[in-house]
Amino acid sequence: MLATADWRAIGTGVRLVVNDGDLAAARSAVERVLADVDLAYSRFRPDSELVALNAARGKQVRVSPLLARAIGGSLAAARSTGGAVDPTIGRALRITGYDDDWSRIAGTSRPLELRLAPVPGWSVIAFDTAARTVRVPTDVELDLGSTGKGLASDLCAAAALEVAGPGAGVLVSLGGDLAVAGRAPEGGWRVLMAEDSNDDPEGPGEVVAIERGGLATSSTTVRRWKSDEGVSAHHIVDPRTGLSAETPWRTATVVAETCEAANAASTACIVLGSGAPDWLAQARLPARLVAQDGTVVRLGGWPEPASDDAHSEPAEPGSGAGD
Amino acid sequence: MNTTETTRQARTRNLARLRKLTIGTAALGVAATTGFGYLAAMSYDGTTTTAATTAYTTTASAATTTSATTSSTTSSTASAPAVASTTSTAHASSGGS
Repeated sequence: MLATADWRAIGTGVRLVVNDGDLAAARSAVERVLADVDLAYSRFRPDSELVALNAARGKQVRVSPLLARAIGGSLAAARSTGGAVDPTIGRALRITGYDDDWSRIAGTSRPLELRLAPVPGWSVIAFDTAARTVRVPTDVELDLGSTGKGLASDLCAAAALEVAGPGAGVLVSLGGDLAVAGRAPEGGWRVLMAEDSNDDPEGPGEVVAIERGGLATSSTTVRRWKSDEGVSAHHIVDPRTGLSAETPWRTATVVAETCEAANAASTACIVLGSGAPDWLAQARLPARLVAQDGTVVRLGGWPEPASDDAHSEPAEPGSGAGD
Repeated sequence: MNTTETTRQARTRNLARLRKLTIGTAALGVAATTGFGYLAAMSYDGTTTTAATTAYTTTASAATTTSATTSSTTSSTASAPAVASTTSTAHASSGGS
């Protein structure tokens, strides 16, 4: 039997589904993990470890196991994507206007000023995994958004499964980036391919099923903003330019062994643009890319939809659906 | 055409020029990064190339956090989980957030 809980945390929607297990215990475990994640690597909490690290002005800092894990994952993602995903975009992201929790940005009416900042590149980060020490050069700011949410989903799923009871299975979705663990329901864990992760899972559209691993979607249609001059920006920064990525894709969904890997790969697809299919083929990851005109491209074994009603999505380029 | 429009047009032109320049230099940057990444991977202790799903536990007071179970690899060459198509009702949605 499936039991579901929905709530909000770390600036996004959380969905927990437990298969034949203790929902309350699983939810408590997820909440504990998310509290730890927020304190370790939120960019918007003045008391977070990451904010302190970014302010350390080039000094070597010893970090917690959780932050070390998150930084290690972000650097691994940078390496495996050839720099398309880069944790040193923090400053560029902040000065292009994404400088606060999205729920507060979306609610403001102030004009946003767009400026440019070079992205220093992930190789400037000195990280010793054994000692858990990190040195972030002065004027460089880390942002772990392209891997951190996926990692959090993985950690939440593992923690929830541990307390859900024997033979249980769990699905944890953080804003549509989801990880599954344990025993899947019959037919697998089913996920609706949506424009917005807040869409009702029971709504119409293409549904896929996975038994294990993680699935993540990156999108340029949400978390968008405009300057007072009408220049449009979104939250996925191209490390090559320091600007919001110019891409043929409105969404990119990827399945991988972990949600962290899926999260990095889906972001990389947006940044790589027309180069994404080649990169995905090399990475051997199933993916579903939706072009700006709504055309759906399925790659790496991603199945055709089971019904005829979901071959494309309505094209609303720049529609800016909010979180 | 007033001064404000001229300024905006100039800004747009300059922005386009800057974008071309940055993308042009990016090729060199990516090549350099890839080269450095290869060297770094050679000298790195390897922990993050096998990125783990780390199950961690916290005490009731959250005073300590311990890393534990290292289980799966995120290597891009690992076989990814299978994806099947279905008409059944979904358990969750995935999209922009």
